[in-house]
Amino acid sequence: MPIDFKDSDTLRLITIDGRLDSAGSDEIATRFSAMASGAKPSVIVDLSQVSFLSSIGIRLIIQNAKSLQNKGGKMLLVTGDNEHVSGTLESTGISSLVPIFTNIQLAEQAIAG
Amino acid sequence: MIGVPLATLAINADRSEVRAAADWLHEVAHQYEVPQNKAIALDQCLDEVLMNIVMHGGSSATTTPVQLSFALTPKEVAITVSDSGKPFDPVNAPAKPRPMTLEEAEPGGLGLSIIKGLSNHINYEFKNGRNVLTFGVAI
Repeated sequence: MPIDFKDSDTLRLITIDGRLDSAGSDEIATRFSAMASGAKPSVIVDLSQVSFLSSIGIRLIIQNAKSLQNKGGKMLLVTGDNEHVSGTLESTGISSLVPIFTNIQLAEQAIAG
Repeated sequence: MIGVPLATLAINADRSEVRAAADWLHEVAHQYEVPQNKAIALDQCLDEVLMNIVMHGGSSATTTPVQLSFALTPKEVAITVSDSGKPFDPVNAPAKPRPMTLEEAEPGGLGLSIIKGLSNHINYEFKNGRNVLTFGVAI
């Protein structure tokens, strides 16, 4: 299951691709936590290529968003035009806890303030 | 009415078999020309239901296979899941209050919100020592 990151000055962009069900979440959990552990204070997680998002995948995101926040950082999510992912995030209420944007530029602008 | 089952599958209540159930669902949904977005909604509900059985069903969940069946009417596509785990009625389970801040957020209890949010109807009964849960999506 592909997960990758790219850094700029103060920002890390993590891209996740594929099926974030229990098996997919288990597969990336260690790498995701390492990537989002505060090397950069702002982390944008791009979920636009995620084909399936389960509650286990959302749990993984919440755990890492909390842990990053405890270190003074901030996580933002990008869903692109992926209605499946945005609908699932909406149904669980996580959208009011972790900011969600439709594209990376908007997320970057929010960080720049 | 949810119609006569068109396909069935039995799996063990084991995390490693949950994806096989998803593959089965997509194969059957494709065979019966269920729109893909509806198949994905069912897939999501099924994943949550099965993971709930695997994680919270207790030791009795693994003593018999989990039975899945697929039914289709002109208005709805539905899955019924029957398991021998601890009795659990998701229809009447209290909804977890939504956390207001990230600090308050507990990473759990989200599966029920997903099932209730994506399905158009959900029905539960405890019958012959088994949880029998049906969830349907309108087509």
